[in-house]
Amino acid sequence: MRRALGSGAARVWHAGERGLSPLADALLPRAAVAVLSRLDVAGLVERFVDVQRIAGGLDVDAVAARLDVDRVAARLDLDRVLDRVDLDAVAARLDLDALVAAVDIGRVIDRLDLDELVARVDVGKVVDRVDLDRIVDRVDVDRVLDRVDIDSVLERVDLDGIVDRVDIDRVIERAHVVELAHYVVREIDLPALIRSSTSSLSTDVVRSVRDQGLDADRAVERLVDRLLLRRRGRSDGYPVEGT
Amino acid sequence: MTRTGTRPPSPPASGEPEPGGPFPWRVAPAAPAPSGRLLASGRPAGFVTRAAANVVDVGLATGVVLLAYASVVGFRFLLAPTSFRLTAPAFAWVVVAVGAVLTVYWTASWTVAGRSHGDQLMGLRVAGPRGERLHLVHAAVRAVLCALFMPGLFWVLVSPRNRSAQDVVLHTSVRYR
Repeated sequence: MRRALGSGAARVWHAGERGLSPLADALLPRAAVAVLSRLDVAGLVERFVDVQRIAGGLDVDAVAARLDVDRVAARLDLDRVLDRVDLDAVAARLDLDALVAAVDIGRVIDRLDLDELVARVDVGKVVDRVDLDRIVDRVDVDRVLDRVDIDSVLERVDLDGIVDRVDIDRVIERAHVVELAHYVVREIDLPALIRSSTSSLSTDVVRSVRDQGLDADRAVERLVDRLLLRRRGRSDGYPVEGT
Repeated sequence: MTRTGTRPPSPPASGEPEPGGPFPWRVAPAAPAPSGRLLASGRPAGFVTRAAANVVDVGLATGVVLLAYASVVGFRFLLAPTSFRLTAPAFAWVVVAVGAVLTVYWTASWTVAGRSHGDQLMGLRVAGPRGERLHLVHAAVRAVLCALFMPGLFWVLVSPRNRSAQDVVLHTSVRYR
């Protein structure tokens, strides 16, 4: 009995289902839209759905693997995206100090291949762009020289060794000795020097002649005074030796 | 590093330091000792220097006479070159000419400068009785006497005040400058 009832009900159900199915297909979407439009779906989801749990069950790797990133990127209109981004606002909100403080400069430097960097630098161009005159103008040469211990530097210089290595013949060859001699003669006024020394020589000769004449005078006077037995010598106190 | 170059010697550690230290060329030359000439300045000159001065003056006068003679001879040659004959003057005339030139020369030089070139060379000056320079007449008389009687210079040898015969007569003197 029960079985018969059950099968009968099932037949009725299936028949109803077959008869009502088109009707339900036509009515249900409208009813659902009407219901959903009157419901706060977002609030219901927020209230009743455990999003975290669903997210935890998601296989993100599988989802990512199925994503065709190239196609997504190809469809992106980056210009429009960038046009819509307010870069000034972004920059204003950036805390550059914090960013820089977070950078581990030591690690950055460790990872840098300085040799390769230096090899890539065109030192010649760098030097060409350096204004050496300005640098030299800013150098206080007097202070630099004050800090240099010239004596100790000279003590360490082997002057004899340097002189031994000098090719004197080449130096003389390049010195234009004749022109140098002409210049020196012109500067020291050698003719005037010779005239002066000649004058000095003649003065010496005259002085010598006078001194010898004086000595001869005294010698003759002594002789004559002895012959004349003159004991007190000549008058006016002029002494006569040997009397 | 060693240095074998020569350096100025260091001054001695003890005793008197060397004059000028290691740089003897920096020592100022010593002042010359006063010569006997300075000590004799102003005193009557002796025979030898006066005779030497006279010899120089006589030589100069002789040169002037020779030059004058050569000029006269040359002038004569230019006037009559074909009939020109070189004639030697008599010795007496040469002596007279030299004496005349000497007289003029001594007069002028003693009056103007107080000394002739011979006196200048030997460092002498001719002075009056009070040491002053001779005036013209005084110098001229002395020049004539000196030219006429040169042996009067020998009186210097015996004179106790180194005076020649002319000095005794005219009260003049010849002194070292």
